[in-house]
Amino acid sequence: MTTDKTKGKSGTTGIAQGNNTDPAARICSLAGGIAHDLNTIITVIYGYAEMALESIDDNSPAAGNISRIIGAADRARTLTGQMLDLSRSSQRGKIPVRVGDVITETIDFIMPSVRSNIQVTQNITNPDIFVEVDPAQLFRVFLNIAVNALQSIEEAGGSLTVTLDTVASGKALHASEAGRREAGLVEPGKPGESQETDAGPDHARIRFADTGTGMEPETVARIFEPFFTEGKKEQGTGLGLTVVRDIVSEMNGTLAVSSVTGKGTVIDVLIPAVKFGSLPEKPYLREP
Amino acid sequence: MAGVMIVEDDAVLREMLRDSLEKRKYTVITAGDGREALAKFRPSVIDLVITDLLMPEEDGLMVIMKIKEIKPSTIVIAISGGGMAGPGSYLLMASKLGADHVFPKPFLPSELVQKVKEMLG
Repeated sequence: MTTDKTKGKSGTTGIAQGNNTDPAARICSLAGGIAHDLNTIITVIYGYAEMALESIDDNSPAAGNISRIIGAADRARTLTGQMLDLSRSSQRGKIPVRVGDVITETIDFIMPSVRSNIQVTQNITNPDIFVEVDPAQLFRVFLNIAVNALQSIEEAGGSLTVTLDTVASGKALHASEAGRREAGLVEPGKPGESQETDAGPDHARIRFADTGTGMEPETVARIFEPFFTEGKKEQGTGLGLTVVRDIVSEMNGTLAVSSVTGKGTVIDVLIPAVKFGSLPEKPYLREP
Repeated sequence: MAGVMIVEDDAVLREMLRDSLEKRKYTVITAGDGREALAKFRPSVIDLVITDLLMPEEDGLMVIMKIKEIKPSTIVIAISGGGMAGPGSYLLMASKLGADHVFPKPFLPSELVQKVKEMLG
């Protein structure tokens, strides 16, 4: 997987990735092996912690400490799960997927845990936008981005808006205000400058716009790095957006991030769309 | 009391699971790899087998196939640290080969013990 990432002064970053044959892919594979072994160790921690809890009084001061051990093991479990996701990102089958359905599934999934001071809105301009991907992987991309957005909003309250539309062929890299200086597929240009090309299909654009805390440009430039996190440790492991990056790359897609400290963040996911005429008889559709 | 075989190459996990099950009065036999498991397997004694999948010598998939061949009524629970998802998942393969239940590691041993209890009635 070839990753080419540059940052812009205004706090934007773009990512474009190619095939899956470089050292990064091997690192992902290694991560899977390590996660496999760690999962055995975590099971042992769970087991002896449970036994210790069974052997003491509920009111014992040690009970709280043992519960914290279990809590730490829970966080380790999240980490190994994400490491396994990284290692598997190239193993799924691709089918045409109606993007709006996956957005709705994602929002339905997160809503029970969304605080009352946060408003989540979906704005699907065209319900029949399809991409050819693994629907589970697309869900994971949306979920990771949405969860990050919610974490940036949760203290002060605010909104998360998920918008789906399409971007015409050749405009994909510049469709996002945040992506005008995207790197990787084309040379970065001046803000607002058009750099359209005729190559490639139309793209589905899924925009996650939050009114959260926002990020400094230096942070934006690093958010896709493995283990990089600005959140509280218990909120995440710093692998969620790395997983997003790798999955979107597998989809031949791109990511664009724009953020202003104190105002919020916009993340655009751009994925090549499937033309209607090329859809098979049974694409992935959400159950009614 | 019912007999349970634990096949796990990690000695600490193997002994921890043994302790958990012996506390519930199960007769427990352990093995550190698939070959040892098949050598120790006694159809008249073992009602349920908990097996890891990635192990030296014979792996857990082979254990499942051979044990189901020897005594089809043996209940098999597969455990593995590779997770559930993905077409190449060992746990999915274990299910296809006859495992009656699968537990992706890490799991709470109390949940495994509860499952053993349920499956043995």
